[in-house]
Amino acid sequence: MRTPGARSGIARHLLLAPTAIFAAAPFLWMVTLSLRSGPEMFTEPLRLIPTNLAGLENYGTALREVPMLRFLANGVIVCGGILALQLLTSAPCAYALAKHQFRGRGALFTTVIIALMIPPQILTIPLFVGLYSAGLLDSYAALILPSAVSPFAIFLLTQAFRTIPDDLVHAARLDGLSELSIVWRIMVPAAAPAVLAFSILSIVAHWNDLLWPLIAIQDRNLATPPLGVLLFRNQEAGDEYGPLMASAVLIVAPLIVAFLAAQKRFIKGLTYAT
Amino acid sequence: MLAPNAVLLERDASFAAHPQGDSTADHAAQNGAADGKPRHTISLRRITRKYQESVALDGIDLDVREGEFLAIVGPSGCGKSTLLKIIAGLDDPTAGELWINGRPSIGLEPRARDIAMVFQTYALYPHMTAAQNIALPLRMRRMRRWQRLPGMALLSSGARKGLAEIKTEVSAIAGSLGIAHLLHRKPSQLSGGQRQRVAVARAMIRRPAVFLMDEPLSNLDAKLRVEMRREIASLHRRLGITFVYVTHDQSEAMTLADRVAVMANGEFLQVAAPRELYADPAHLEVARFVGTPTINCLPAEVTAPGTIDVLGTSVPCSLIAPTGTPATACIRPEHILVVRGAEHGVDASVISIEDHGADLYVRVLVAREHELTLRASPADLAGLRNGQAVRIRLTPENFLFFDAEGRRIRAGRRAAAA
Amino acid sequence: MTAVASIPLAHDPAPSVPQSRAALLSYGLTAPALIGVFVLILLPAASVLGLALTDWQFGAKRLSFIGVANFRKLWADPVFWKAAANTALYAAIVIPGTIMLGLAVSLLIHARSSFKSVYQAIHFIPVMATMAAMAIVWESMLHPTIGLVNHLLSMAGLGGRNWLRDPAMVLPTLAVIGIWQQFGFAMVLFMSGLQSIPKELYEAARADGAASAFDRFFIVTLPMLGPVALFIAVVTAIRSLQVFDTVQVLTQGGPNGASEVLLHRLYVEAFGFLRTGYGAAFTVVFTAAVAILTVLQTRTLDRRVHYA
Repeated sequence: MRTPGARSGIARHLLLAPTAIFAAAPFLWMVTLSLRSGPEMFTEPLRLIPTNLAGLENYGTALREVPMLRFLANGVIVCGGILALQLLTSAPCAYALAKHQFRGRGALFTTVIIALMIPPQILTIPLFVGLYSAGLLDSYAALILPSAVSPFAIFLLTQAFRTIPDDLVHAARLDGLSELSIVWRIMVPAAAPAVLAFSILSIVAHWNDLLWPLIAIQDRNLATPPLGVLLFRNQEAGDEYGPLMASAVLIVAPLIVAFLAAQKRFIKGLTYAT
Repeated sequence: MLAPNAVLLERDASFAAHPQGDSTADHAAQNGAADGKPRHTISLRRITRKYQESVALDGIDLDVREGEFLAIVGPSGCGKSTLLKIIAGLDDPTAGELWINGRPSIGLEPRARDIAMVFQTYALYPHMTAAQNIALPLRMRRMRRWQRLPGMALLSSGARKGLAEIKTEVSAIAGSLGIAHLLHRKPSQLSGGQRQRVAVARAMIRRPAVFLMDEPLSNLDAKLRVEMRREIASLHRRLGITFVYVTHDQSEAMTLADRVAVMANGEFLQVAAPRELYADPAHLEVARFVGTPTINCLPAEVTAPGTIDVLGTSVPCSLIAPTGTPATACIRPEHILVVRGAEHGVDASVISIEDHGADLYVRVLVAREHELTLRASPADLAGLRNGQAVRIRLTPENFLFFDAEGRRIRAGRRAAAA
Repeated sequence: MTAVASIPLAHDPAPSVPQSRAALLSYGLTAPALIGVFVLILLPAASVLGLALTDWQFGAKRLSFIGVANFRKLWADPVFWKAAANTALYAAIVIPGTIMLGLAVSLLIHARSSFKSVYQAIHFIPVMATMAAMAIVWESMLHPTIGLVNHLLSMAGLGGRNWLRDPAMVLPTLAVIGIWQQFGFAMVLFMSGLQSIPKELYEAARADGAASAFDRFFIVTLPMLGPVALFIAVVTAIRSLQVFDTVQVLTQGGPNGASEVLLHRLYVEAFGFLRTGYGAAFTVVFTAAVAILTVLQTRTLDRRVHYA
């Protein structure tokens, strides 16, 4: 192929600039507004850097009074709890499906695939009713339990475990490991990429989920970040724009920072689903 | 040690039938209940492994002596790996009994049997360093569950002490195998030969009574294979423990083993020392399997009671069968001679000559339909050319006869002196 | 990655665990997951079907079985059809928009290696950003007087609009936000598709007379990306069907139902009006649509992997 010339290189940058700006604009806008305060708030929309740093106080306000700190903590608790339960239930199951022979293995795997195909929205009503009957609504349990088991995790891990050589399992049994030890000490570490990919997917999906917390939670103190910022906006519409934008930054920033730090893994994880 | 050999020799004439198994009482007696020392490290009786559609093992009997190197050979799919897994406890037989060091071991967990295993693919834990791989069996055996939890070394002096002891042993064993400098590496950073040594170290550190090896050399290239073969032999001499070695490579088995068990279709065809397998095979498959170049086989026929006819020559033998019964006559390449001058011989023409340096392998066509390979030194056959007509002699005393089922028929006069 | 629908589990020679240990252990290992799948997924899914055949309202003491009455009601409900139409229109804008923008960006980024990962990162970030938060940001950007969008438009001499309150503009606006969020995902998939096109194909095309890059694009690139594009279309369709966050945060279906969509309507019926039986019927219809698309997704996934 002929060496591409400099002109087409510049054209490429010129064409990618507007799309990049399109993608990035809301983030820049969000950060800019979050740093502004007082009369400056709505003037000069195109000015990126504020004249004074009073806007930093917006973050303080956001953390304390929104209260973003609480919401972020809830997000960590809920996403962490969900991921932990998902891995705890799916890894042993995937191991049995991949490496054991037992009656009903095929049926079980088919069941997992069927469950995989069920869109989550169909479950909202019955889960809501069920949790209500159990008196568990408006609690961390209501946020964590419905997602505690992930057929996708079972499927993904089963496929990953199947690629691990059988002799590794034999060697581990000979070395004296119990079956559960084999799951956690051998299979999960050996399938680390798949486990990581799933973890990223799970955390991102549940961190960003609005529908279910909206349904299951009334107590503001339990709100996850998306619900929290929505509640704040509904309450203070128009008055506290600075802290509102600061809150948005606080919610979005952790995932973006993590993404930038491990870009390849993230993309691999999110597209693993496909 | 003649007695055990004799017992096995007598069996070969009717090898297709299952030899009578010992009763448990006999077995205990045989295993030296009297003096307390087991003579056989491993004993199998009537081991059978069936699957839904097939039978992998059909009534296997075997006694492995203390300290011997036993090789199990056979073509792929003959059941040898299945047998090894049953001995290891990674699989249970459908029927039969197994003793390891005198203990009945069916149903016993692999870690409770006094064995260690080296796998074909080495089965090293990819996320652990060589040192951690080697240490794992000891950690599992010696340290209690709570001591094994991550971070325990910081909290418990007992855990720390245990880990330190293990570390010393790992270094010692790694040193004896020449891999001490590789202990911090992960398996992916090691060559094939190095990985194999780590696998061996992991097996050795358990100080087992039996070493099981499942085709450990088949993943290595030819040159490395020969080198590792010698190392395994020297390892056996050094450790002095029982080795059970599974392979499909007959030359590996023949060069390494004290005794070789030849297996086909889930049964043993013969269990004997290499020399005996070569010179006195009990079955046609054994004769064909062992020896390079492959033994020559010719169709033969019983022409009179006590006589078999092959290529026009009548040879006396002990088979009592009706006239006309078909048989197979086999002869080793080195027992076919090229005759000169006026000596009596069979006409043949040379098809090809392979020069192997010290030997020539010559392929000849006899009676226009049988191809035979003969082996001789270049000096004897100087000037031999392709297409040349020669006369060959098949020394009748070197024939090995097999009946239609492949079982060995012994030649020679009934009451003849040796 | 293997297609979901074609997993042959029965034939693979899994290592045999000694039969004495096997069964109990295996069942023990799979029990928690199995129980979870039944209790949290299969049972609820089945019960929705049952619920849809009743007239139950949340909190009511009694319910009665009314057969398919809910479905008939749905069929006759203009709000349902409006939501369906809006969702379809939304999808009709988002799907081609996402594909075209994703394809264009991926081609541009793929063409040279300079700043590749920077461009990739920038365009991909919207995919992961919490939509509820970003919707609030978009809200302020779209503000008729102080928002960035109208400000830029007035700088260009064009008039601004009340994007979220104008019935004619609200759905397209939401669609643009939808495109903004998803085109990065399409871009990544297209890029991996581009990387897997063998270079020899381009050389063969040139040898066959395709002189310009334009020609090569239509002869080689586009056809090879066909399966990827199809797959993206199906995935985007499923996600469009599931649009909720932007509607809930920005318009709640307004003004006057102009931006009402299926999932939001379901939420309102079941949890706003607490017409649980009716909401269940809604859910059944919604799920059927998504399920059909999901089956399509696995089919196109298969073709994407086995194209070569």
